[in-house]
Amino acid sequence: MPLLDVRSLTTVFSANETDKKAVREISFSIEEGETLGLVGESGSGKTVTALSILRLIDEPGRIVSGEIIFDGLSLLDLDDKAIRRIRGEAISIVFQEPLTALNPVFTIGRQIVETFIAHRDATVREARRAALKAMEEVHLRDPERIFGEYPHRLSGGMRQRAMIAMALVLRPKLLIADEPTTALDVTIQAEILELFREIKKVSGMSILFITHDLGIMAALADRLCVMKEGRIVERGTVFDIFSYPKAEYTKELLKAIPRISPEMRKGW
Amino acid sequence: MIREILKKRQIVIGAMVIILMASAAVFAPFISHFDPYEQNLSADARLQPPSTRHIFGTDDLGRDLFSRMVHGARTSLSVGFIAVAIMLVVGITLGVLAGYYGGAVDFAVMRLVEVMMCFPTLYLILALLAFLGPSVYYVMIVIGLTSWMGLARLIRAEFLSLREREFVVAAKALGATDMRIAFRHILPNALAPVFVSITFSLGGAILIESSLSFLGLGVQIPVPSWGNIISTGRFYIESAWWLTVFPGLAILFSVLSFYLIGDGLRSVLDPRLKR
Repeated sequence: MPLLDVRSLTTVFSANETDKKAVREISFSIEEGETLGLVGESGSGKTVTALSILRLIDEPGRIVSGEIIFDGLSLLDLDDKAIRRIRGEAISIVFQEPLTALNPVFTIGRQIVETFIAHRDATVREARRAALKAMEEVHLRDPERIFGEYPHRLSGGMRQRAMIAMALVLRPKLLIADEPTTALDVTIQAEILELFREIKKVSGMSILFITHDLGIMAALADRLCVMKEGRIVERGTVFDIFSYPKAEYTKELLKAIPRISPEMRKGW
Repeated sequence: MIREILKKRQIVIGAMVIILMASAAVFAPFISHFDPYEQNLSADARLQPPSTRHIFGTDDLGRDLFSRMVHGARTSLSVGFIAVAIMLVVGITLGVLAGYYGGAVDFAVMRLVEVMMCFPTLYLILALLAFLGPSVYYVMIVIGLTSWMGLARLIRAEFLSLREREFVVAAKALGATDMRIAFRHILPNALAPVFVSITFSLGGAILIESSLSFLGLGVQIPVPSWGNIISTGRFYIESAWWLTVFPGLAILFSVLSFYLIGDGLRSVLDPRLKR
């Protein structure tokens, strides 16, 4: 049985009497230990899908139909208290821009500790230890010092690692990464991807990786779903999609990847 | 940022005056050589001008004015602080609820704010005190309960923009409850304009208390308050000017200091708010 099974999920946003469907009856599943890539351009509904899974969609949006089964539980039927237990503990999400996703008035350490204490009955000391351990796991150098720093004092890469540490501290079964590298420059991007690869290997966590960059997908995902305008237009393994794309849209996406041709490489 | 605040002269001067007055109030029994209630009705003790013995002179009942004033400082300043404390509790709570939840809660709170704001504050306070009877405690409570509206609107406005920020979604995604997000996460971010508002409110509260005591509805004689000292002293304005001038200056400097601090804070915090 897959860890996450999404069936016919439809999420709409209402404005001025009309309902705009951001996600139209999409279905996909993620097995344990698998990394599923959700690819698509801006506005294709990738982020809304991720937020829908954790029921973070608020007015004017709402989930109108479908089922989301996680580890045997129907997420859409849970009461508020139950879904809050799932959030952060069973399913975690890492956002795109860590500067806005982290609270500017709290230190990094405080934010991670608070997350830990909110879910586990732990003392502050135990939470602090767990937080420092998580920070070491994401390779934040000098975790003691960063523990007491505010988000705006860290570099983009460090902030993103801090967010990942916060997402991992409770050992979730599913990690949703919503374009975690889009806001970073390319070299840092590579480092963060390497971190994800390591997380994948060491913890066996399932990952739902959302991006618009096919190149990243090739490096990280086992399977892919290509989204366009709220629908999944193609799915398959990374190899299948890159080698034998079926949908027109997928082919367009692949063609859009800038390549350095042999001519351009002559001067290297 | 704290360094910037300390660099602004207004704030430093204002703060020093307030600290001076607050110290005088706290240590009143130690620095006043005379008992503020001790009367001396002999002709050579009443209505004496400032001298080396009585720094501020004596009043119509022979009481040392300086002693009465530092004890009065206790009353005036504590009424100010407690009234503002009440204001903070009510204003922040209602502002947070209205700003975070929106919808029906917001509607109800805003209508309450509007109704309260329709009443001219001083007259409402006068009416309430006439009904309840004059007492320092009623004064504190009534000032607090009639001045929270501006603060609530301020907090609500901050919340309306802050609740769309991503760290709110992130906190929710990690399992935080609504109350926790509203009070522990968003509120600290919303407090910058509140500090400015508090200082102005402190000045205002002191003015209101002085006015009420002057009118006889606040602190009752013989308990000293700057307002009621002026009230008894006004009959002697031409002969014993010290009875009205000194407490008047005290009120002036305390309120002015609060305004200086508030104004200074506002200029330090304002451009930062746009960051």
